Amino acid sequence: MAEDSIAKMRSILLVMLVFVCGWAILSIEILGGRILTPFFGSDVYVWGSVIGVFLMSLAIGYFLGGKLSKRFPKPGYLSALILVAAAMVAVLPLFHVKVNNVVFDVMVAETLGGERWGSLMAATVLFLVPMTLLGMVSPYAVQLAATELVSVGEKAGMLYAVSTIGSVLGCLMTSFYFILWWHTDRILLQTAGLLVFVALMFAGLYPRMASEEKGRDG
Amino acid sequence: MKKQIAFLLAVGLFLVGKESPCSRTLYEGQSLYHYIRVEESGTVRTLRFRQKGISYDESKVDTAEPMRLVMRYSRLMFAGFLFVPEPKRVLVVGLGGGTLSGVISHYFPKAKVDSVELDPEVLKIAKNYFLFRDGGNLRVYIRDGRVHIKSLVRRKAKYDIIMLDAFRGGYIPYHLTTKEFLQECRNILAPGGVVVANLWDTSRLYEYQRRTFARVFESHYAFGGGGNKILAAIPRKVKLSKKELSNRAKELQKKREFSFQMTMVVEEYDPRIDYPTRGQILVDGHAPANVLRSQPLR
Repeated sequence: MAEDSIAKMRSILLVMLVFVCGWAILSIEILGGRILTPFFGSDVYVWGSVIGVFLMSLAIGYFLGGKLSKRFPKPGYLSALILVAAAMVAVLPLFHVKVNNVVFDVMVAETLGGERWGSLMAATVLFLVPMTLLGMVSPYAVQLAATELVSVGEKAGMLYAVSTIGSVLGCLMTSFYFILWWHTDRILLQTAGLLVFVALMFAGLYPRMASEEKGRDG
Repeated sequence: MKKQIAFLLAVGLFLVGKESPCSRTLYEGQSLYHYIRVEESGTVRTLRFRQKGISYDESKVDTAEPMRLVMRYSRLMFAGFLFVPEPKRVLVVGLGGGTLSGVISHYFPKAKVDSVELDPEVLKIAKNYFLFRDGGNLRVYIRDGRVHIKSLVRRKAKYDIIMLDAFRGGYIPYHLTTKEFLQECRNILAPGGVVVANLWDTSRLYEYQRRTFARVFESHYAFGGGGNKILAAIPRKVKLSKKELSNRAKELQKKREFSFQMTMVVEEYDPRIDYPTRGQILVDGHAPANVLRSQPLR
C-alpha cells in the first residue's frame, strides 16, 4: 500500500472512531435525562445536572486523554479505553434504577428541594466515569493523527468537527426518534454495541497498517 | 337555506371557540413552566395555560358561587367518593386554580386534603384570582408529583383517594403516566382506596394509559367521554352495577349536599372497554406520551 493511501485509511478509521464516540456521548446524555426524570422530576435542574456532569466528564477526559496519549501513543490503548467505556454503558441498565433509588432515599425523600442535588449526584455516579473515558478519545485521536501530519491544528480541527457532528446527530436521532421507538435500556445496549464494533474494527485494522508501513520502511 | 344554516352554525362555533367577547383578562404572565392567563367572563374566572399557540382551560371558578364546580371534568372527579364515601386523607396531584381541592376540603371537612403542584406561580394565581385558601384541612406542597409520591412511598404515607389531575393541557408529564408511577400510587393507597385520573379519550395516549392502568389495578370505572374521561382505578376486585353506584350517589348527595348532582356523575358512567386491551403500555424506560397525545384516535 502506498504511504499516502495508508495515511488516508488511518484518517478514515480515526474519523469513524471520533464520530461514533461523539454520537454515543450525546445520545447517552439525552437518555440520562430520561433515566433521572422518574426519580428527580422533569424540571430544568435535571437537564442542568446531566449537561453539567457530561461537560465535566469531557473536561477531565480531554485532560487525561491528552496526558495518556503522550505517554502511550498506541492505537491499542485507544481501543481499550472505548471498550471499557462500552462495557460500563452496557451494564448501566442493570443498576441505574438501584443507584437512583439509593440517591433518592438519602438525598431527596426527606429533604424538600433535595431533588436538585440528588439529580446531580445520580448523574455523577452513573455517567462521570464512562463519559470521561469517551472524552479521552478525541485528544488521543489527535495525537495518533499528529504523528503523521505536519499540520496538527488542521487535523485536530477536522477531528473535533467530525466528533461534534456525531454528537449533533446522536442527540437529534435519540431525542427525535429512538426514545419514541425503543426502551431506554435497549438504546444504551445498542450504543454500547456500536462502540464495541468501532473499537474492535479500529484495533484490528489500524495496527496492521502500521506494521505494513514499518515492513516497507525496513 | 341550508347554506345559511351552515353559515350560522359556523359563526356559532366560531364564537364558542373564541373567548367570549365580554371576557376580560385579569392576569397574563409566563411562569417557569407555563404561559398563564386568567380571564373573567361574568362571575366565572378561567385559568388558561397556552401551549404551542393553543389555550387550554385548566380551571374555572364562579366567584358568586365558589362551591359550584363549573367544569364538567371536576364534577366527574367526584366519582372517587362513590368508592370511598368517608375519606380520611385525599391527595390531589395538580392544583390548577385549586377549585377541586378547595371544594373537596369544603364538603369533607374532616378529611385531610393534600395537594401537590409543580409551579409556585400557579399557587399564587389560585390564591389571588380563584379564591383558593390553604390551611386548615387543606395543604399544598410545591413539588414534582412523581418526586412527592415517591417520598410518600418511603414515608409509608397512606391516602384513601388519590386524584391525578396533572396531565391536562398541551403537555403531558410522561413520568406521571407510567406503570412504575401507578405502582407508586398504589403503594400509598390505604386499604379500600381508589385512584381517580383525569384522562383525555380522543388521542392514542388514552389507549396506552388505559392499558397501563389495567396492568396495575384490578377494577376500573370510567366516567364521561368525548374529551375528559375520568377513570377510577381500584387495586382489588370490586363489582358494582350502575344501580348500586346510583344508590351510593344518592346517599352521598343526601349526606354532603353537593352543589351539583352526584347522580348526574353516575349517569355518565361508561362500562364499555373502549380501548384495545392488547398492546404496549407506558413504562419509565419507554413512554412517548407527548407524541401519542398528538395522534388522534379515529
